[in-house]
Amino acid sequence: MKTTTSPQSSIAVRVTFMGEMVSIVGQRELLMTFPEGATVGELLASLSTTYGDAFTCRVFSGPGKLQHSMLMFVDGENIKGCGGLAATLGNSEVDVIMLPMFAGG
Amino acid sequence: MEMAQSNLPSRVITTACGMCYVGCGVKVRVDDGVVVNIEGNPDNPQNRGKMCAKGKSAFMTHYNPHRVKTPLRRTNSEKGFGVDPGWVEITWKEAIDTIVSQLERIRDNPKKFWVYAWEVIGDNNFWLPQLGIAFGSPHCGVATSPTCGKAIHPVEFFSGGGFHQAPDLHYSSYCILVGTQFGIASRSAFNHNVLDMAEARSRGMKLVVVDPVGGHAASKADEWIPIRPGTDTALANSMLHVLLNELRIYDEPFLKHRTNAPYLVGPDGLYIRDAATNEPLIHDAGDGKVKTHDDPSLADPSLTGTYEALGQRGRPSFELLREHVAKYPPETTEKITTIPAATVRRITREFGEAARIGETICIDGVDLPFRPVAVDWARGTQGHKHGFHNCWPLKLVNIVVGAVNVPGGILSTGAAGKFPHHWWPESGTDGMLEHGGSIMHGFSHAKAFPGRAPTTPIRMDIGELFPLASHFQTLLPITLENPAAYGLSEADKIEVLLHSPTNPVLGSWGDPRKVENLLKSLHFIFGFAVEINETTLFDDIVLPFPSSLERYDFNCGTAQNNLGPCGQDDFCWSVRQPAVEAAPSMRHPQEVIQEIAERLGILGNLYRLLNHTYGLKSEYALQPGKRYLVTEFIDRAVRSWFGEEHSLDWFREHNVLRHPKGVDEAYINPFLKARIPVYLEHFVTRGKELKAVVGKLGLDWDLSDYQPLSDWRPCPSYRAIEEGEYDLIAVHFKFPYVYGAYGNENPWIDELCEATNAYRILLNSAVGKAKGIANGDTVWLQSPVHKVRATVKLTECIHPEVVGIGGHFGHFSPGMPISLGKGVNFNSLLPTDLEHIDKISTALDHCVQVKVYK
Repeated sequence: MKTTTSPQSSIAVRVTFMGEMVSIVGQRELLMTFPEGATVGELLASLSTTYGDAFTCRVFSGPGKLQHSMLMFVDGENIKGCGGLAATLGNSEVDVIMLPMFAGG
Repeated sequence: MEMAQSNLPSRVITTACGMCYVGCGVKVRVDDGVVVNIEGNPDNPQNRGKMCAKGKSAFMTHYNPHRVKTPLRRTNSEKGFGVDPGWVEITWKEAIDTIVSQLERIRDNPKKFWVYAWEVIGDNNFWLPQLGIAFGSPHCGVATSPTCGKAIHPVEFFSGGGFHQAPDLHYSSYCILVGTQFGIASRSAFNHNVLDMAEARSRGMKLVVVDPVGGHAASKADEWIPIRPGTDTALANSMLHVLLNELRIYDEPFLKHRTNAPYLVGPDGLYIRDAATNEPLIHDAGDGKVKTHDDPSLADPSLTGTYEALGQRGRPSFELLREHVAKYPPETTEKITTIPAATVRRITREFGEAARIGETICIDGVDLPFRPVAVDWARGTQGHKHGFHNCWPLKLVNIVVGAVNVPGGILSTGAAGKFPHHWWPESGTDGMLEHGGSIMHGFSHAKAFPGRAPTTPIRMDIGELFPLASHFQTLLPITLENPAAYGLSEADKIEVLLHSPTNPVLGSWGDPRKVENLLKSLHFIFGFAVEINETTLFDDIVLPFPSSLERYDFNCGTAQNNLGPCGQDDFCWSVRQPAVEAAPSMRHPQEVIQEIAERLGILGNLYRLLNHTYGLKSEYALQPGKRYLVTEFIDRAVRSWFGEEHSLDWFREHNVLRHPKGVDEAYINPFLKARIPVYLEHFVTRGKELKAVVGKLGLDWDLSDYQPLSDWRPCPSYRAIEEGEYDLIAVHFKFPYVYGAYGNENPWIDELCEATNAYRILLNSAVGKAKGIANGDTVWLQSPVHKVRATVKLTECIHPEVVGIGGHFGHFSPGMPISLGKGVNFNSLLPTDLEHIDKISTALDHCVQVKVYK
């Protein structure tokens, strides 16, 4: 996670999608701009607005709760270890990944 | 047999067996470069030196003269059953060039890539799907059975916290097995559990087996109770009725404080929730107030009564359960299950009394609830049209007596641990158990709570329309027939398949014509293979896969990470290492996957996923821009998990790392800060959401299974028998010496199958006599979709309405000459359509109406 000290008022975020999310977004990568201090939650909210229910139901299990099959990294660091949805973005590389569920049989 | 490496000294290699997913510890003796014997490793807790026939015969599979040892390319563009692919040997370069060009072709639409990754023997169960995920595919299946795991894992993660359930044979005094042969012929840490089961029976534990087939488990039981297939819900609800309404045997403190039994439910079937927090409400008999489930003042939750809350009349879910199961007195269900009412009452009373509710046991200085009873169930109960509800109430029988994750009860495998890192189930939505535990970091649990909001499908397997299911591949042959019916188009169709070295044609679906159509519809198939089986026959490129005696795995099978022995037996970790070197033309699959990923420009993404899955600490993480030998990867993984002193060289020498388990790791429920369900409130919500989505698609689906309490509903075969065109129901069962199709081409396993008449179908003796069929007769076995020749074994040990078909036989690939034409492939008899799919779990109905005639 980067701590941004840049004087710029906006940040550039490169979002990479993996697994099922590529088909939802229709692209492997997006370049997005946010105000400085934006969080992972705000990034996902923005994507939810753009890509609708198909995105939202895969990413969230309830208000403010990530689905257990979602995996997100910011600059290579799992967001679970750095504040979750409240983690602050810098000029970051973000991975949004949907994993298949692991079952037996 | 290869004798190339002569004059080499005799040596013994300690490694892990790879003839099924258990990964037993073995010692492999190699003389002059040739494997000559395999024995169990007594230092490995996974099997404590014991072995099964499959493991003992592993080197006969290794030396199979028909093994694939070099890449192959198909020259015949026509595909189908009975079509000769016209294989030619090619170089690895040509094979990977071809594969990469096919994947490049669909790069902009990655959902056209399907990865069938069921390779539970080792690491490729993780590496294969991660390749697909890194590529951007939504179709990456790590579970592929049409039955197994469909209900077990979704139920276990929300009611136990781990991957699978298993009775605590160390303390149990009364064990009922329903549709499973746990500890006798199948499942989990098999060779470990076999010994535990024998010791438990010797100690005096009563074993009751409820199963249409009186097989290996029944032969060891105190009592075998034949049941009509697909009627387990009725049996379970009767047992619950007898316990809750007739005997009033239930663990009241457990239900009040550890389950959602006191949650107040309104007339709409939903929890009554606090207006401010949205948390479910409970009536506290201690002060007569209604409060949230997590209110610190909560003292005595009410399990009965009617209470005003937020303007609604609410009743505790426990009372709804008790009222619901009252519809199932044993006299009523006797007509459904064929089990006499008196038998149900007797075993339920014995079970309830043996539960010793209120008693505790002190283990290692810790007082724990003592509930030495368990109802266990598995594949036999899952494979039905209403598979989820055929299983869930059986788990409830354990829950109401408090026999969940406590000594003697039903335990959750692999749910919690503190070594080499900490993993533990956690609560979530509504205070309920939501997040299961797993030693593997990158583990997305197969759980049915809280599920997902359904949406219009973009997946070809329409997983979006099964919001509580965990895997959906079973739907593919069905959706392919009419994608437009589900809002899909030609552009959504899958074009490229990568499969593991298993055999989905025989094991993953039903109706062979639909399976053939599915595979023929794919533009390009490439897969790994040990031998040319029925699935490989459809491949365009075949990649040789090392035998279990040639391969390296950090993870020696699903049983090592998720299905280890229960109770306080030591945690253990072993690494699979080759006993003999593979032929020079062979490559380790992990290295092949890296090369494909690098060529596609997704190696960094693959590494990110692998680093996460294996939880590699930063100093051991795989770095973009570099490829690793399989040995380098494993060395990083073991040092990351177990410390610098435990390198791959350490595991090569010692092989097994053991660590004692604490009481809290073995019996987690008293230490769990989460409630488990007796009432599935979220089924109501998901059902309403799904009804709206399928309505928009114009689908006329029966969604009555989306209900919070289980009702018995008949499978199609039940009705078919009543209508009279068919008079028997075929079911599948397992042998302890056959796991899936592994070993079918092994001459020693074949000899065992021949000697035990395993290739024959089972028919009740009286039924055979009435039909004029004698032991050993050849007959026609006909289902609505398929008709095969079969040889009959008459027996009294089968329900008179049932035909029993064991193993995964019926091979027809010329590449498997030993098993060719022997036995029956059970799956080939199964109708494969939405009418035979469980709308909750996606299980394919595995009881099928048949007729048997000469």
